[in-house]
Amino acid sequence: MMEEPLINDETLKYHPLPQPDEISDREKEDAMGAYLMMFAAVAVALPLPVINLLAAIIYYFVNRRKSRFIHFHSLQSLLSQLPTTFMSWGLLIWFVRIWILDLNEHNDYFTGYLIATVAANIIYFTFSIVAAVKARKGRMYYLIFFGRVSYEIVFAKKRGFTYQNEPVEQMENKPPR
Amino acid sequence: MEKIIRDLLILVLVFGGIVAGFVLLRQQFPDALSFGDEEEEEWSILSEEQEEVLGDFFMDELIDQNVIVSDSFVDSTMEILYTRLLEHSRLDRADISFHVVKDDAINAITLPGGNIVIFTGLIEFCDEPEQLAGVVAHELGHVYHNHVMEKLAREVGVTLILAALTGGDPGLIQQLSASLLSNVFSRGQETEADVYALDLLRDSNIHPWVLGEFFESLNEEDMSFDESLEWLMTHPHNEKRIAMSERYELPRDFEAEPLDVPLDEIMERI
Repeated sequence: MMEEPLINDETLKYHPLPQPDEISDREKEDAMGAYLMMFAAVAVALPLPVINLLAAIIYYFVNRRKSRFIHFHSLQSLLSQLPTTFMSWGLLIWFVRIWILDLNEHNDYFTGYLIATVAANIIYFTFSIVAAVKARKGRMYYLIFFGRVSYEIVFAKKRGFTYQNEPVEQMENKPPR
Repeated sequence: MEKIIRDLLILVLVFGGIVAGFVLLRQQFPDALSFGDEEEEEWSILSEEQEEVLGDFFMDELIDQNVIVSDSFVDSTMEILYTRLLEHSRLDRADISFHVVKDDAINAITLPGGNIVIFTGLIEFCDEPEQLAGVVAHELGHVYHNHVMEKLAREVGVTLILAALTGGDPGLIQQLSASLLSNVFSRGQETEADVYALDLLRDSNIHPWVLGEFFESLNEEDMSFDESLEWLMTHPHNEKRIAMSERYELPRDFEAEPLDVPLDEIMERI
């Protein structure tokens, strides 16, 4: 039987993942908040899909230094709502063109786009709730595409982020430049 | 990295697929997943008789306020133009009435009940009878597609039209008249009428380019709008209409037959 090498590609390139028992309750709540935050924001500005985006951006920049776990979840929440927000904006503009400017664009492409946007929003909401529950339990949860991108940004070693809950490494001796 | 791109592709394919799938489905089965265009059904609840009553009513209004040209020479020469178009129009001659009205506006309007009103300003403006035929063909397009009733139903509402038919109040009638005379069709309706006109001109052996020519002379008259405003306007902008007319493909054996309508003489009689 082959032993797993102690140092593999993954450990060289990426920071280790925090396990549920290493994450404080406060962190778990903040991570969950990243997803729930946007529900409140959407409720405030239902027809204008912009408040939720602003809220997510503010939440992200306020919380990302707290810990790697919070950073990951708030980034994933922010990234995953970009496409649905833009799709909703497109729908809104199309609506205005048809019903206010009275342009004859009420065609099958519009209906198809409407269905796709509604579907995207439903899928996004569903998976956001799942992600919020997982985050509360201290688990990582990867949404398709956005999970990988967020992991890449937060856990790759080449990124020089420092977190409040991680000791800053005192490096007096440095390799030659 | 490859997995990130793969995920992105999946997302784009799924949502692009929803749109494309729906459009394809509708093309294959036009009735599938229809969400009911209520607007389209709305106007059809007015029967043909009711529409005719409405048409007569508006013609009476028009006659009250304007001078209708009734001259046997004008009527008989214009009839040549009407007949040429109507022969190929898929419309019944008995359903259409043409009226020439003394007015300097370069305009022609369509009223309910197949009434087409041509202003003398338009006849004077046209360089050749073919251009006039182009405009008349466009108005016939509005009749063919029943745009007038669609417009009325949208702007005024069917219940109000019905109320007007059964002897309504004068304010209501004024509103109806304003809506009809404003001559504002939606952009799609104008394009539909243009397409119809181009086909009809071709079938009537009149060169479809005359419609483009007409819009070009309108442009020279500086009657058209600033191009930057085009997206706000309901009329497809003249430039686009000119282009559509110029790009119109004709069969190889197409031969234009001159239209023998002396516009100058008509104007003298008027």
